[in-house]
Amino acid sequence: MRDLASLRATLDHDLYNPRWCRLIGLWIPHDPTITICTDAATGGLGGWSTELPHMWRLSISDVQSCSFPIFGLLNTHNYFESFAEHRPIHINLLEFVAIFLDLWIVIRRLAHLHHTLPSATPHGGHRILALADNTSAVSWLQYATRTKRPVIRRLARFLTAFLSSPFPAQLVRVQGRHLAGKLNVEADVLSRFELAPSWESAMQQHSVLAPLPTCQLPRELLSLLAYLQ
Amino acid sequence: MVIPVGTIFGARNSPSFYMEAGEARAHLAMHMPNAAAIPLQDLATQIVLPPRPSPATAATFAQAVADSQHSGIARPHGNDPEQRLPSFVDDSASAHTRQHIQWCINLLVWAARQLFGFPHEAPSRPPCINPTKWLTLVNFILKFLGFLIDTCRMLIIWPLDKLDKLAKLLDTLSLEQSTPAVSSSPRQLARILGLLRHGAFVAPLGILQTLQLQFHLNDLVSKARVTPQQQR
Repeated sequence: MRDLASLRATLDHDLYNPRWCRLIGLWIPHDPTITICTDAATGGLGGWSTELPHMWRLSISDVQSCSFPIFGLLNTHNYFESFAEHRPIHINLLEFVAIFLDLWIVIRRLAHLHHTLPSATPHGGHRILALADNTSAVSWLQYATRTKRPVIRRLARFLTAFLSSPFPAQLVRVQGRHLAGKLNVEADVLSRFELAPSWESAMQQHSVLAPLPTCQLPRELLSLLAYLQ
Repeated sequence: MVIPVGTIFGARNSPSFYMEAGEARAHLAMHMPNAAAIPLQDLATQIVLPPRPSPATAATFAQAVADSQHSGIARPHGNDPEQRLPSFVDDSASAHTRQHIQWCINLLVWAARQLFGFPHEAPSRPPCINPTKWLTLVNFILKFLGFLIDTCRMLIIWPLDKLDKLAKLLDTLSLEQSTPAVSSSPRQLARILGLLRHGAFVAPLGILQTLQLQFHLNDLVSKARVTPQQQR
């Protein structure tokens, strides 16, 4: 009911109240202004983009250190472990978390840019295209109701809440699209520490990553995501 | 035997071919060669343009950005009329620049009549475009499927009457919640939910709040579901 009171506060008599109108350009298909690529593996997560230059990676032990449950989540597709607490986290969930983390990085930077230099926001807003090689994670990005699993639903709703805050809601559209795994090679290298144990080796393997600045993710964000599990 | 006596545009009981006539009309209008030679239709002569925008107002217009998916009208100000063919928003709505809108409307009316018949061909039948329902004022804001579309600011807007209606429903709910003896009914919450769901199309905030309200509604319904044994 507290949320309804805050909703009531937005209902003023302004036809152009930014909370109740949206750019047409954010509804119709357009070329993306920013493309992000993410990947997750059992050993880690990673993502990158050239339009808003950044790259990041987390090993599974980094994730675990933030109380993120790596074992024990119900993974009905894992038939090798008879006890639920021994079953590792499902890869689909990790893929979804990777998309979330990259969107957090991008939208936070866009919000900062918008507040410091509003004219830098392009006409028609920002259109972010999230590419991942996991169809489930991509579909959860669009529709939280596509899964009955409470863990995913909580994460998807949290993402919706994040995207509903005033800046991204008015000027940013997020879309997901599946990218074949064999084409997602850069994100693949970032997420797999056995392929590229260091930043240098990742950059040597893919020159497109070389000029990108690395990003660190705050522990608070990871802990918050862990809390939703 | 069930005979449908009414239908909603695009409803499940509407025929599968309901858009074919509209698509044919749009195609005819958009690809008609030598369209400038078409005589001006009576309905097109009646249109009234709004006053020209002031420079200050024009400065607030949103800029459309062409890309690979939307190239826009190729040459909206060119002399070649085929480069200025109308773009359809729907089979009943179109948009064009101020200087070409009359020509555009003329082509839309002509295409409809070409497909469904000119009024003079069958005077006993009602015309395909009813002149009594013809709005003569050309406007840059139109209401479409319950939303306002502002083509100058390129915005989809939830109308003020809907905002007022939601505000009143929330005020009533708030009043009832603050009175211990009065409780809100699931039906009342469902009305708010339905309205909010409509607005959520343009307000992402509404998506989140409809989800939260839905959970609250589910709780109320589950609590209200009292079995006959419990009643005893």
